[in-house]
Amino acid sequence: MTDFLSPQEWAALSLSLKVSLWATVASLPFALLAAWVLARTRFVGHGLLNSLIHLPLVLPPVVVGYGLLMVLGKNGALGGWLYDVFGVTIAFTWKGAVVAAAVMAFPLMVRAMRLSLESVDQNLEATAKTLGASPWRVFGTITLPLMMPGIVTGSVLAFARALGEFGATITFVSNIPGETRTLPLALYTLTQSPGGESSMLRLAGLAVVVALVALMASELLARRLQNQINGADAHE
Amino acid sequence: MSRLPLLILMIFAASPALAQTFSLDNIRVFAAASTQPVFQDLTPKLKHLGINLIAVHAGSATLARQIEHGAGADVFITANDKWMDYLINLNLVQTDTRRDIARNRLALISTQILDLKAALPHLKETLNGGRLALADPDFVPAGRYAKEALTYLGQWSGLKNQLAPAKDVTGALMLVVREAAPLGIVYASDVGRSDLIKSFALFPEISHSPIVYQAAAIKGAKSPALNAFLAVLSGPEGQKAFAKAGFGPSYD
Repeated sequence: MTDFLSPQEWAALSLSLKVSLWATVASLPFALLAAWVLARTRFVGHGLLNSLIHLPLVLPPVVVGYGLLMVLGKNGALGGWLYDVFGVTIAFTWKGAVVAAAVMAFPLMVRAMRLSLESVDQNLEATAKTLGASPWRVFGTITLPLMMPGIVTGSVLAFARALGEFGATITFVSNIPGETRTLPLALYTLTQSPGGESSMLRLAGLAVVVALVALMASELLARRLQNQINGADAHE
Repeated sequence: MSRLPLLILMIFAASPALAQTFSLDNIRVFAAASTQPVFQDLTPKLKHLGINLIAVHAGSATLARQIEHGAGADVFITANDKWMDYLINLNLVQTDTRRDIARNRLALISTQILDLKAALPHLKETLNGGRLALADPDFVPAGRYAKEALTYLGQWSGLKNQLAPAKDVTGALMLVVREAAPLGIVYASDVGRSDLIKSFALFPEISHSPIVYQAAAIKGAKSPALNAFLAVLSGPEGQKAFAKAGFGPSYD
């Protein structure tokens, strides 16, 4: 199988998977929090927060990438502080690619989670509470399991979006082989190389396969979870 | 479901490119797009010297800006001293390492078999309504040289609205190779990068400022291979690779 892809192509594929996985996992708690705030609370600025969270969906990705560079770059407020205090560099590293992918994928994850949270029957939560369960226990044993299909769908959507991220990534972390050259950036590099056609077709095919596997796996998983929830209902 | 993480781990473990690079000294070079074939050629030779070359290619302007924002480059290679001076003014360059490493010329290219030398003074007619591909004349070195040459030949104002600017010189080459543009202006060293280029003509050297490639180490470059790499660039091995790719020798 290693003969099928060149070392550079392997590097791009594994980097893409690594970046997308981290972006998805790291976003999960924040997305859950954002979904909960949007679905369950009302306050002044609720609409503004909602719009802010959705901004990366609408803005040109180059703007997001440039914004990240301004904030997290060596000369940026947060980036400079991180470097001075912890010696951590985000821009132009694979961690920066994770940040770019996470920001771009965040709205999709929040949307799916919020929808599933809104469809959770609040009577069930209230019942658990009257039976003496603490708010955290209610969340852990009632709300979270019932939200699971939304969490899975959101995660897969975010993962898929992260896999395809291009504009914010190339602006924020450049196109460094082995460090930030993910699958889309490798594909782009090949479109800019004379004689790169065969390699490009191979990588494009690979991108299709990865996307299909991710989508089919999520479909399967979501259906199984939904069946579990429905099944549990039927037994009661 | 529980097997998924294992599968992912296996994918990472199977990635040979990552494992291989650990024993070598990495050097990260941000180099003008036109030098891509040179570094492709040099990569295996550098491996023998214990140097793992990580080459990032784009227009010199893009690279200079990325270095400004802390891209962690060890060496910057540009086709125009303007962007070198830009980084020097920001106090980001080890100025004592700055050196000329190659020269280049400007060429008009086409995928058709044409007498481009005869076409040089009549580009508008030869384009026949198509666009002229070149690197963006606003900021990419190759585009600036092209603008100078066209101005010298008295054709700039006539062609200004018939350009197809690309983000770097390789982009301009690809526009011609894919026949999106009938003619393009690239470096002489780019002509050999695609078999599909069937004819070319060099612009007279007097029509534009000398095209000199410069290299310099960036401040804070940590690579232990830094000096060895710079020595290769100026030495016979590097100069041979530049000559093979169609560059002229440096006069340093």
